[in-house]
Amino acid sequence: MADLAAEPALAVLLLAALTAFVVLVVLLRLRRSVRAARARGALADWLLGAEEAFAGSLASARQRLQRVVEQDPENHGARTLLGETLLQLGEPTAAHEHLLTLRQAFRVDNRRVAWGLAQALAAAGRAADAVDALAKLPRSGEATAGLRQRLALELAAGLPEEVVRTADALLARAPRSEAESASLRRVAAHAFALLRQVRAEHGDTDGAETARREAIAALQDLDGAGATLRRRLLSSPATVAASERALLAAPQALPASVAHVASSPTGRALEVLNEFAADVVEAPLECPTCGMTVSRSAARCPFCCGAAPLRLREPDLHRELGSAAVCSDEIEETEAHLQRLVDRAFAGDTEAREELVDAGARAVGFVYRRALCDAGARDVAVHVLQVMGSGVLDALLEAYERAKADATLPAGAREAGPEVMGRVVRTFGVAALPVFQAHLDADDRDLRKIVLDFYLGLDDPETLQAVLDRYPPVEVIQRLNLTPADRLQAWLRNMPMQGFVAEVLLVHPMFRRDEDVLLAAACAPSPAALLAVLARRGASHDLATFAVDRLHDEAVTGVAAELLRSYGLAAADALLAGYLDLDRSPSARELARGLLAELGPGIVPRVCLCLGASPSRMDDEIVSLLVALGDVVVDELHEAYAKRNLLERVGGRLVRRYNHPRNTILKVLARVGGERARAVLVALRSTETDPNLKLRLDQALQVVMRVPALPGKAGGTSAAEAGSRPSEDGDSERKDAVG
Amino acid sequence: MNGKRPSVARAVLRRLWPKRLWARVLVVALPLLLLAMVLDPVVGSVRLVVSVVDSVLRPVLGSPQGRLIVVCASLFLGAWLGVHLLRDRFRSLRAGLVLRQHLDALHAYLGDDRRRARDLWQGIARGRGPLPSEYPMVREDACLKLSRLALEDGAPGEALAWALRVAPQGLPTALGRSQAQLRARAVVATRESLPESIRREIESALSRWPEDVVLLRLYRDRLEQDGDLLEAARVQEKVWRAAEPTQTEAERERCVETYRRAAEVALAADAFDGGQECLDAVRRVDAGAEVVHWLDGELRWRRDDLEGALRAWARVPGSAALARCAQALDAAPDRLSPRAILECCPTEGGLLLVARAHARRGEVRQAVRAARRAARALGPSPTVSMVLAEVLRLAGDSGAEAFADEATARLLRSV
Repeated sequence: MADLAAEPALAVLLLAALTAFVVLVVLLRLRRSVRAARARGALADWLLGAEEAFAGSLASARQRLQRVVEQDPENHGARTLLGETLLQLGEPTAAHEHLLTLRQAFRVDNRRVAWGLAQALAAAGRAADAVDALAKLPRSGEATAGLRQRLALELAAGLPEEVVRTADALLARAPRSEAESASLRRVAAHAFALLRQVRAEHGDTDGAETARREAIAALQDLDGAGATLRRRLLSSPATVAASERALLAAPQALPASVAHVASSPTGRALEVLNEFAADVVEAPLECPTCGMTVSRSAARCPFCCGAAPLRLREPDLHRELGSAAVCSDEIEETEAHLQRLVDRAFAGDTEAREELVDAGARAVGFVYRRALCDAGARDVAVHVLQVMGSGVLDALLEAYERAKADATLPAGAREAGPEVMGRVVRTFGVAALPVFQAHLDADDRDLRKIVLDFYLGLDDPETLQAVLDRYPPVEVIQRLNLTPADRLQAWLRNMPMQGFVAEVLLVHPMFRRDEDVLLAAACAPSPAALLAVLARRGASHDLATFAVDRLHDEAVTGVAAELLRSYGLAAADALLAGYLDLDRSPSARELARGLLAELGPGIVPRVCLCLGASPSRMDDEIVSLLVALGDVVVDELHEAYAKRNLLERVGGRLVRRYNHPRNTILKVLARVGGERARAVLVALRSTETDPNLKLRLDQALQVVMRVPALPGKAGGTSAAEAGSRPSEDGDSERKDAVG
Repeated sequence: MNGKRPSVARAVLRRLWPKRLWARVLVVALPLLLLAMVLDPVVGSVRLVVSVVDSVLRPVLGSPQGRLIVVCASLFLGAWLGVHLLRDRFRSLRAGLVLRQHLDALHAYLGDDRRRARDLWQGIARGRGPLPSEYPMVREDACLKLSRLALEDGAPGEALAWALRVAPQGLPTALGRSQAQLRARAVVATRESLPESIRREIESALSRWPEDVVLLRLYRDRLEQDGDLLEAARVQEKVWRAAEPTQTEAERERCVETYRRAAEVALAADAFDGGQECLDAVRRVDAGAEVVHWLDGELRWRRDDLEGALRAWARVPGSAALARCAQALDAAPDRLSPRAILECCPTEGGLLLVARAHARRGEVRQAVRAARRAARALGPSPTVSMVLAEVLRLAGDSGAEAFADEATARLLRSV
């Protein structure tokens, strides 16, 4: 042992081992100390963090508590406080995460956690879930502040029944002040009103009525918004209709709840209006979440604490006008406004037109000037002035005089003045008579025209006589010629067709409104007088053509046919043109054919002139017409057959003859039949040189000899009928033979 | 578990390291003895010490008295050593119990078991035992918690008593701030406290914690109760800047509202400078607030600038501003023409003012036109209905009655 100990290497080795051992021990001890210090730090974090959270040092508390929760995840208290701190720091999602972990993972479900969850959900905009989170907590064990928060959450979630319960619980705890009590009653009443709506929507009328009564009771003796709400509740739901009936009905018939509104109409109603307005002035805002009215703007609703921005109850009051000056012009009806109004009216704005009419004499000058300057707007301007009526006559005459002297008007504008004025004053009626009587002897030519137009518009023969006594007929006729058709027709209908008008004015060659006379006759109580006037004016191809054109019009048919009959052969061309126009209505053509048939054989030459050089659809119509006339037309047909046109006469045998009209005549003769026709055919056969026509003549003769003749003139009607019905009996046989 | 891999060497060492004290002493002493045996001078000195002890003890152990003395001395030394060694253990055990009590109380408090929490904290606060080295201010903390509990239970006197038991010197920041808050809150909550005392207490606390939002709120409330609205508004501005994020908007609104009230008080006393100061402050706090325009209008109106006032009020949404305009116009009915009124209030609501002005001037046609134009644009809202009915009544229109009834029916129907 001593030898071993005497070895120096061993001693060194032992020393080294000892040193290493000591170092190791020291390190281990140090590590243990660090751990202990850390544990002390964690403890201080937890306790000081909790105190900071209670004291509102949120940022520091959050740091400490987060460290604690990281080191010890099962520290429920630290996690709860961390959740609450995060809530106050505006991080509801993170707070909800911690609180939900407590509830779900660690089964910690105390009041603090429930409230934290509810607040986190509410801050995240999930009020209904927040109320659910509090469902297990009884209201009786809640502090007053907690109940208030609960009330806010229930309001935001739109749960009226819960709101009512919580409000009742709060009211039972003797509110701190009268204002708080009133606020709570308002909330309760609001909830009852909501409840009423919900129940009514579900058909629970009794429940709704109960809720309404509760709401009214809750609002008893309240001022301001409470009183307004109470009044509204009193008037709903059944009494609103009654209130509307109150506008007309006697107050005694109303339910008692609204009788006070309508009992003394203006005074009480104004009082109610003032009350409503005061309510709005007092509480101009409304929460879109809970529907409560709020007195001043705030980031959150003071009732439900909803983050949705409050909205104005009368938002449009603050809407800006486009232009204050324009609006003032409108209210004061300045010239600038009237000018704008005219511009709008002539751009198609009907409201502006109505407003112009409402402006009356003030707007006349602008409208008249626009009528002169803008031909496209003239009709509208005239209409507006007509609607304004005779009350604006003085202003209109003034505008007329002013325009006459206005050198700034565009070229040609002034000349339109009489026409515009005439169109306007024609509608003014008797009320304007004194004014125009004063102008009867005016020297101004244009003014005389206007006066004439006015008198013509009156439709009164007696007052017209004053004009006829003073004015030369030509001047009157000139105005009549310029009168609009509808106006003239009305005038003609209303004027007695005797005396100066019928004997002088209407038969005067300068009068050229025959067509309007005819149309007026169609609607006149006694058209004969007007037709007599037309007859006195003599036959007119134009009028005959117009009458034929109107044959399809049932209202005019009678007078048109009468007129055409009275014209006789003078109307033949027009009738023939109408009859042969295959595009016309069948009834009109039938009528024209009847009228032509009435004209007799005299129309045959004109009809034959309508035959063309080659066959056409029109030939059948002509044949039908001629056959309808019967055998009285045989001689005229013979003449027409023999008649040579200018080319045949000049060309002699060198020119090819136009055989188609002759073929058609032969066809007619064959269908007419009879002795006279046979004689004519024989005569023609003897003189005819053309082999084709000879053949045709032979055929026609065979037919005529085989079939008896159609009746003559005396049986014209039946002949016409037969002609119009080619499929019957012998006619069809003749047709076959000729064809 | 902290992401570190377990060391094999450490695990082996831990396994081999003896659990008992004597074994550990042996493990440490054995190498030392071996070393001492190798080093002759050391062994020699040990031998010398042993021989000295032997030479002293030998005569003593030789006599009965001497042996008695040695036994007594040995017992005394052993007892002294035992006490000395166990005392720290016992103290740390007691301190640990206190700490555990505190933690239990905190958990009970957070778990809504306030009674147990109070009992536990009272035990800590009244105890004389050792303090845990991990959290030596546990007693102060317990006092503060008791103070908080008392405040929550509506016992400010008790709360103050608990808060006063805590000496502010040497407290950590968190506890110091809490103590200041609780003291101030307790003083404020005590009914018998004089306003001056409350103010002094809060100001004293604020001198140390000038940014503390709880103290600032207390100070603001105190100033408001004292009627010093302007100063209260200034403090409220500080509150707004220091408030919790969720409360920032509400505090800003309150700040604006307090400035508005302060301005109204100033204007009522014809102190235009004060009003202007409030207006500037509101602009600084919230330039877009309606109060800015409202106050601006009020100031202008007091300075006889009716047009400017109308322009300012026209920017405030809602019917209250319209009512204020109407009130100002009623006070000076012939001052502005309807056209000027509309230029100042170019809104649909302004048309109602114009209608009233026309009606007042007897310009019936214009009044009715203005009112009807507004009614067409706005519908039968309460304000419109009221003004329209008033205009029609002033105008002597027979339609006023029917209109008022109709408007009433419509408003009733709108529920």
